[in-house]
Amino acid sequence: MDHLMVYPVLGWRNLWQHPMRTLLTTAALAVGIAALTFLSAMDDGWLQQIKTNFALTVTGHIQIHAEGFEDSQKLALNMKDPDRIMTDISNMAAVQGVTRRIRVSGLASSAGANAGALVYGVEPVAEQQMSRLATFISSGSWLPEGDVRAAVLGDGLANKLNIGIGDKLVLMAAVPGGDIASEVFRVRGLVHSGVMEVDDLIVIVPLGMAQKWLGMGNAVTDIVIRATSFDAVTPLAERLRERLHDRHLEVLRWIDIDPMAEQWADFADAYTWIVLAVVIVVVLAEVLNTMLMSMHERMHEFGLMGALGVTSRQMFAMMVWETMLLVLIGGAAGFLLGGGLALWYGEQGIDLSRFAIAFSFMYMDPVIHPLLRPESVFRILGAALFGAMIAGLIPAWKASRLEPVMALRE
Amino acid sequence: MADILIQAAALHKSYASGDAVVKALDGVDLVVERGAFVVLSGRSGSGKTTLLNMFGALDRPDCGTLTLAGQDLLAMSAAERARFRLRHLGFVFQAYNLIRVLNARENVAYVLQLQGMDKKQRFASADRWLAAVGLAGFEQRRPDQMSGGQQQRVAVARALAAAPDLILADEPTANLDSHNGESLIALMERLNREEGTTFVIASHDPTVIAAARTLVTMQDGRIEAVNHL
Repeated sequence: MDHLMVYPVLGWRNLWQHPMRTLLTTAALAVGIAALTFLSAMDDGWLQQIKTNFALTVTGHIQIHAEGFEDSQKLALNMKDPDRIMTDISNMAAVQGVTRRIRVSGLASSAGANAGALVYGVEPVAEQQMSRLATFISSGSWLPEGDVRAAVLGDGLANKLNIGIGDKLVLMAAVPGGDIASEVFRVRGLVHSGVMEVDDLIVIVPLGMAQKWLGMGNAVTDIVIRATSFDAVTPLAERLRERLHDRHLEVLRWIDIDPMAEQWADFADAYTWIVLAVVIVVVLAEVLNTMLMSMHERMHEFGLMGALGVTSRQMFAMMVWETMLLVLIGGAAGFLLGGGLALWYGEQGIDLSRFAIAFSFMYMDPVIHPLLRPESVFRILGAALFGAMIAGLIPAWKASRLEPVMALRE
Repeated sequence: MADILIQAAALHKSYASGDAVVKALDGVDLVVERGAFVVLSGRSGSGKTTLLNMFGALDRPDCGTLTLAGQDLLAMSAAERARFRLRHLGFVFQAYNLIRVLNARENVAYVLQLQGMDKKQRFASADRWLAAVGLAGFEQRRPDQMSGGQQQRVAVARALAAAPDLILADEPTANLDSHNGESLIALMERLNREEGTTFVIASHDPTVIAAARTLVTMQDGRIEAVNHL
């Protein structure tokens, strides 16, 4: 093994024969990899925000409905015996919380105005463990226990209706049988989430009162589940489907409920791969250029080494080592720089409040916290090393093909 | 019966030079015995370096036969020739003989490392050979910290350290002043005498020619004369 150590040693020393060139090449590599690491962390950070915000603002990780409800939104497609389902699933592994809801589109009216509304009948206490709605209260309070006519609504919707805390609100919706029913509520709180779909549309009322108003007895439209983590969602959904397969229910993950969220995830992934491809090309060009220059400068030395008995394979290994060292230096420096920035900004956050309105459409917070995920880091470093390997193979192959007698004439 | 190290017969080698064909070797026959101190002399273009490259398994003739240490060089693959050079041959070239990123000790030890010798042994051997060529104390110096004469001595030490059957030197004094040139040749003569190492040197330097025990005179790719002095 000892004799193999000569190649990294030679590679390392050869690199520093031209310190300025090596420094410039590694600096270029470092800046590219730092930028990519940081961009990737930004990407992962806001994707995580989108996922978390989308899933936890209202939707939850997994929802169970009567079959066909999500597409039709018809109240007639409801679950008559939610307690049995709740009992069946509440002890399953990876289930952190379960709650029931009624979800119905209707009309909200005040003394002077009307507006379309998405009404949620929720369990006031359990809902606080499920969604972030209660944390978005901007004035007033969350649904008080025992106040059956309490309503909390988005501040945008309140503005449209020109109402505030303590004002009367009339909700009207079609009941399962098709008739129209209305009910009076009193505004107890306003929410501001930054998400326009929530702030401009949502009305939250106690589940019991919603069931009574809509004539649904004990029935609900949604059973909402919070999983222990995002990674647990898909396996849990699979297990739920197996367990509930004969009850005419649909089990949907958060990304099934809104394909936009999944598309954002796919887009972010595609974007990362495109940037990775660009980095590979840049690394390839940079390293290829440096290594070809290095090779052409050392033709005589290669001839000498060949004359001394160095084989083509050993010559090839030496050049590959040199390339790898060059990229490892640049890659390590770039990763430390980009990773350090990502960690620092991950703590501090990057304030992009100027674009808050645009971000709210995408369930993004105006302050982004870059997230350094090991798989992204490995992907970047892997791509850089792969690019370097490809680039290094060309000069290494050329060096290994040199005839010593020809090279010695250089 | 003499112990024959090199046996070359009817070696031919031609190069294309533009539209013309240059005959670098035109039917060379030569026998070199072990322990010989042979100088190939002749004007530039006479075929000295080409013949040296053939002996060094660096180049192949168009036709002819060539055996070295009993092995047919022309039957070997490129990898086999590389291994053969590593085990049997040492080289001293005109200039830029050393690997510039290695110091004197490492340059000498490099071939030993390729041969698989462990670090302690090869460094001890390198230091011994550097001392033998008068470079004790220069072990840590890199090529750019040594004179041309010192570099050539390191190259000789490297060639000898590998215990080769044959050392091939191509114009070893060409880039040295007369004092360093004489000193280098004296060193080679001494090592030939004391170690029994075979030297074949291509040179038109009178100092080198004067040191020859076998002088091979070449012209136009042919051997004009072989004189045992």
